[in-house]
Amino acid sequence: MAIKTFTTGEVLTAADTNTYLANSGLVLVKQVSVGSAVSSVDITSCFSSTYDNYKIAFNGIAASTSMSINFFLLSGSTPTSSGWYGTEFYCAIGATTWTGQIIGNNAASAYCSAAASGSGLASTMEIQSPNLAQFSRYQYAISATEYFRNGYTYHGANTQYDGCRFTTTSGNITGGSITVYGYRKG
Amino acid sequence: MTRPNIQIDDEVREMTEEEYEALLATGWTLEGTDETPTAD
Repeated sequence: MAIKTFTTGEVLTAADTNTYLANSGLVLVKQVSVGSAVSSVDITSCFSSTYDNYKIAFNGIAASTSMSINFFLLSGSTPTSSGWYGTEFYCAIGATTWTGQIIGNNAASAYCSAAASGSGLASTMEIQSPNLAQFSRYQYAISATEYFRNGYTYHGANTQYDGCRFTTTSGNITGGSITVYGYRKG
Repeated sequence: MTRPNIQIDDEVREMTEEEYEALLATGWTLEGTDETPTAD
């Protein structure tokens, strides 16, 4: 339901504008344009106490080969070296059977996206509590090129992180963007 | 062979030897064969 419905010719006041800003949902935190032929991308200082929950969007990225993308949390420039637990389910295009696989069992990172050469990389992931002193968790769903994939993870340490790193499992990525949004607390 | 590139926010540069070794430790390969390689 709308907070207020405006009519033709009505003045949009500062108070109304501030009300709408204060009630917006997702807020852009940081956007990085992906450079040329990179195999690792760090986004620093994107998690803070301002937000507890985040969405990360990958758009318009070109992949050099078939790949998955690994996700690490960063404390400054130091990535997680263990602690990720996760399971993913994938289904080949044109099939109906979902297969589960462990993507982390106290691992340094876990999958969060995927792509194949020539078809582009685009997906989103949801992250909870990266900057709180409790477990960080994320989920992803990918309509990749060779498979549909969804995964669930957590990082089993009560550690606060302020950034994240994405690395390819093979080859490199070029162009497009990685955008971090925060969910306004209210 | 040159090392892969790393990007930190908006800066792109070639990986240092230490960064490249860390990437290789994840199982990274130049050419991939599947979007769903078996995780560790």
